[in-house]
Amino acid sequence: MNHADIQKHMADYLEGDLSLDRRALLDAHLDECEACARELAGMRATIALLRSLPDPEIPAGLADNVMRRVRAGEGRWTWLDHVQSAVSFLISPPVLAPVSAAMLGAGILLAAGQIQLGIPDPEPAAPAHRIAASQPAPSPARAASSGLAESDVLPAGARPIGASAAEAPESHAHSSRLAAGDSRGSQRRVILFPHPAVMPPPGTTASENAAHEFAALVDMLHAHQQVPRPPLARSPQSVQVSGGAARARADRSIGGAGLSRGLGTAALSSALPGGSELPSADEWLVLVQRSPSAFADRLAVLSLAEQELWVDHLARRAVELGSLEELLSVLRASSNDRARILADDFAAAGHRSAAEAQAASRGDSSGLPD
Amino acid sequence: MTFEMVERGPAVPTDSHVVRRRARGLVVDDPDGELVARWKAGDEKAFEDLVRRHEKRVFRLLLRMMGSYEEAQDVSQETFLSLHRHGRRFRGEARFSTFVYRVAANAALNRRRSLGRRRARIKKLVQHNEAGDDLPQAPRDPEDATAGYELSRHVRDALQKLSPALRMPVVLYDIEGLAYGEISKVLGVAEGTVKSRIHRARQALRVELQAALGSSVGEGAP
Repeated sequence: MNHADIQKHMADYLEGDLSLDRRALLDAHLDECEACARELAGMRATIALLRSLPDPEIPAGLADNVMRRVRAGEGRWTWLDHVQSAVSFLISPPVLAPVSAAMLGAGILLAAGQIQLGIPDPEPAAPAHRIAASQPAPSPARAASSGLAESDVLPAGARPIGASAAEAPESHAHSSRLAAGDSRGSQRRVILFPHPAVMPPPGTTASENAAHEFAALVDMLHAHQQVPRPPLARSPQSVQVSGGAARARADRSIGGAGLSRGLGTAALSSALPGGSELPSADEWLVLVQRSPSAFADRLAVLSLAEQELWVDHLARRAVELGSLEELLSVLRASSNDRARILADDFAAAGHRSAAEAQAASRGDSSGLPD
Repeated sequence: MTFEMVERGPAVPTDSHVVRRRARGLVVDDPDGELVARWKAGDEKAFEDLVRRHEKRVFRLLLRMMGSYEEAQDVSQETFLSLHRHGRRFRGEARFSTFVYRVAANAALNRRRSLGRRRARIKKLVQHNEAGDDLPQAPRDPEDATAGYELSRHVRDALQKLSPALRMPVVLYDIEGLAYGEISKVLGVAEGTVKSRIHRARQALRVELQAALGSSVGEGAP
């Protein structure tokens, strides 16, 4: 039993959730280690202080004020509630998945028609910023290579980049090339964001179809134009695949969580000359290391459950790549509070992942470190 | 072979304050069940009783989350109005009190979502402490009048420096006394996550309090 073990088991120790033998081991260490004993005492004192906070006095007339406002009609559904409810329904996965698949199919047909016929972009002066939340994103790596602002490809949900051509930086060009057009003046800018909140649920056929269709589109466009290679060192674990279906299979193998589907769509869009690509999670990890602050801020706008999903998935991949420690040091060195908190999230998720892998290798199905 | 009637055992005694419900395979004993049923049937007095029953815990949670008496009061009202608007979505899959906490937690997190406001508040707090201006100008919080005000103030200040993602679970656990499972339902995260966040929040609080109170936190273990 050492300092690290104490840190690992302190929460359970404080809650009395440790087995007797492990508790005895911790007690033995605490008897000898003044630093750990002091820290434990500090934790206990902190908990005691928290629990000793006096109950505040309830403001007089709180319930009366509430009921007065209810009687005045403020407790009823307003037109805004109806709109919000309708929007929530429309962006719910069961509705959005088939719609996005249909839109994607239409996009493929349109793009195919333009390429075959060589039709120039009809609106070169005012490029359309099309956002599709549940559709595949441009590869963050490719976006980075093209100078696209990193924050613009982080998981902030569907959000337009700039409202006009004047606002859109020139650096968006490469990410736009995927859609159509080969000259700067005639690019159709299509910026697509993955958003885990609106992703189709696992097993949704429409989503899989969309992934396959998009991969086919990428392949098709590759045959007509050269997409810039992201300047990233390819990890030895990167998946060597070719063809849309193979990419989709490889991506599914990267992570089982629903998140991998969203990140996977980004991977699908990052097809590189030579028929190989980096797994999308790797690309996200590079982005996290490059700008932990921006990543943490963007992640913060998601719900807690979504944040957990992202962290869990990326931490697992970092453990697989052996880059977790490097990632943690970058996050901890950040001046951003959220990034530093995120480091703890990554550490916890990485530890969990490592423990599960260890348990799996032992044939232990529980995956829990007692 | 003969078939016999199997006696099913005594019927579960019914309690007027406890409604046993079966929802998606879960049996929930909810002390608020009867009031909720009456409210859903159109009885506004039942809703008022629910507000009075839960106002204390909602206000307490929001005061710890918002850090301001006035803001907590404001968000408490919004919480109950939101509950009135959306309460019909409550399907009894968890205790009504858990649902109330969830509505309050969402209201608090939505209100605090503005990072700029949070940064400004922390900056103000730091400036306040650095200036040595420890005396409250106009104590509105009744806690201010208690003998342990100074200690409470440090604890409340330290709580405010936590991110909402860490503050919420530790407040729900250590102050509100909810179980891990209930907090998991309120926040929509796994129990393991709840546990880990509570521990991290306590660690951060310990560091803050040690800095503010010196060694008394480290050595004053109860």
